[in-house]
Amino acid sequence: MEVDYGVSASKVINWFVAGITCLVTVLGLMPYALIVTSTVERGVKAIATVGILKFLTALPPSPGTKGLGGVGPSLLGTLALTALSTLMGVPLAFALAMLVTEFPHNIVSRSLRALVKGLLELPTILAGMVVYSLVVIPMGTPSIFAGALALTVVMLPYVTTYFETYLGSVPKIYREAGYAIGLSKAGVALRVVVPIAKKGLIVGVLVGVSRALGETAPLLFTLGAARYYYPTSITGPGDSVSLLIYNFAMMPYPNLRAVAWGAALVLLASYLIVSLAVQLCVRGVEA
Amino acid sequence: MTHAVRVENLRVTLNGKPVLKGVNLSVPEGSVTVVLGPSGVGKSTLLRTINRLIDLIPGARVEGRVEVLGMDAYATDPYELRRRVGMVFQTPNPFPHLSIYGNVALAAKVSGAAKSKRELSRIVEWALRKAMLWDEVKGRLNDPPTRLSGGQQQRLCLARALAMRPKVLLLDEPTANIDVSNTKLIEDALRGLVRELGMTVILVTHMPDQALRVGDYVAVMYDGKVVEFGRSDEVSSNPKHPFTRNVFAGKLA
Repeated sequence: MEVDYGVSASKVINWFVAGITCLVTVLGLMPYALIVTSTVERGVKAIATVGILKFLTALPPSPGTKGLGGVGPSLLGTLALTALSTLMGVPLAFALAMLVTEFPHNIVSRSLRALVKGLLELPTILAGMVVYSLVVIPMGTPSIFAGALALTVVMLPYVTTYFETYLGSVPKIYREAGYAIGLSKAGVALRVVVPIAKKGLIVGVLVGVSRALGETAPLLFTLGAARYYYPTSITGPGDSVSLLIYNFAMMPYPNLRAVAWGAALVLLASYLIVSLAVQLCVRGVEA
Repeated sequence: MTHAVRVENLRVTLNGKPVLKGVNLSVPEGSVTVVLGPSGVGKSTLLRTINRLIDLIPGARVEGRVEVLGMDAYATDPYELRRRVGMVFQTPNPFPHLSIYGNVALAAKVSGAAKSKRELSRIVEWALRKAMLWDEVKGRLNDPPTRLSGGQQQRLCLARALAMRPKVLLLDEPTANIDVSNTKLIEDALRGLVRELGMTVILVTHMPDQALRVGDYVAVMYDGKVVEFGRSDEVSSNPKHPFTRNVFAGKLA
C-alpha cells in the first residue's frame, strides 16, 4: 500500500538547505573564477601584443618607456630558483622524513616533528629576513642563491610533511616482511618502504616545486629584483616572475601593469602543469 | 631427539602487560609443531620472539632463553638469525612494488643463497615449486603480485620465505584469510617440506582440525603458557589439560 506523505516539513527544509548550499558554493567559487578569468583575459591580451616567444624571452620595459617587452630574466630566475631550492630542499626533507618515520619514538625525531609542524606556520617573510641577515649581508649582495635558500626554508616543512605522511602510510605488514627475510633497517627503508611510497614521494616533490614557483615574500630581501639583464651567476642578483608581478602591478605605468598580467598568466600556466602532474601521480597512489 | 628451537621460561611483556608468562617449549627438528590456542593468548608473540621480529615492537620486553639451531637468539645478530628462519604472516604481504619473480628473488639475494643470475632463477623456480605455485605463475613471473588471488599471494609469501633456504619456518595463522583449496595446498606444501627437506615447521593456528591434519606435535597455549605438549594424535585422543579437552571436544576454537 502506498502512502502519500505530500510536501512534508522535512522536504521543505531539505530543499531550503540544498539551495543555500548551492548558493554559498557559487559565492565561494566566484573569487577564484574572477582571478582566473581576469588573469587569462588581460594576460592573453598582453602576451598576444608582443607574441609568446618574445614575451618569454625579452627584457621588460623600463618605467616611463612605451611598449611591452617580456619577462625573460625573471622567468629564467624563477626556473633557477625552483630548481635550486628543490635540489636543496628535497634531499633534506627526505632525510628528515626518513629519520622521523624510521625512528618514530626517538626524542630527536619527536622534536624534529614538532619543529617541522611549527615551521609550517612560519610567516614566509621571516624566512626572507633570516636569510637576509645570515647570507645577503655577509655576501654583500642579494643573489639567486640567497633567494633559493629562503625558498628552501619555506618549502622544507611542506615537503617533509608530505614525505612523512606517505612513508608513514606504508602498511606495517610490508616492513615486517622485509625484516623477516633478513633485510637490515636501511634495507627495509630503501628496498621496501621507499619504493612502495614512490609515487607519493613524487607528489611531495611537486608540492615543493609549486611552492617555490609562486612564493614572493621570501624573495623580497634576498633576490635583488634584477630584471633588466640576464643573470650570469647564482651568486649575483636575479629576479622571479612572482617578484616582477609584485613590483609591476603597483606601478603607475599601464604598460608595466600589462606585463604584470602577462607574467601572472605565465605563472598560472606553470601551476596548471605542476598540478596536472600531481593529479596524475595521485591517481597512481590511490590505485 | 634434537631440537631446532628451544624456549625456556620465556616471559614477554608489552608495555608492562604480561603476554607470555613463562613459556617452555622444545620443537623437535624435522617435524611440524602446531601451536594451538585461543586468540590473544600470545601465539603470535611467541613466534616473533623466535626470529626476534618482536624487537620491532616498542614497549616489548623479553626475558628468558630462546635457542634457535643451537644459537642463543638474543646473543646473535637478529638479521643473521632472520635469514635462517623463514616466516609467513596471517595477512598475505607480498611486496607490491616487486614482480612475482622479484618477491622471491629478493629473499634469495638477501640471504646470500644465490651467487649468480642463473642460480637465482633456479632458486626462484625451486621455491615456487615447493610452495605449490609454480604451475600457476610460470608464464607470468613479471606480473605484479596484486594480480594473484589471496591464496596465491599467500603461497607466494611461502615461496619468498623458502627462497632463503631456511632450516626453520614460522607460520602465523597462514590460512586464516584464505579459502579451503588454498589451505589444503599450503598444508600439503608444509608436509612436503618436512618429508623431503627435513625442515622444522612451527605453525600457529586456532583451528584444532588443522593441528591434527598437519601437526606431528601440538603445543597447546593457554593464559600465556604452553599447558600441554605432545604428539598430535596423543594430545587429541588423551588431552590432559581441561582447556585442551574442550578444544578437541569442539567446544572452543
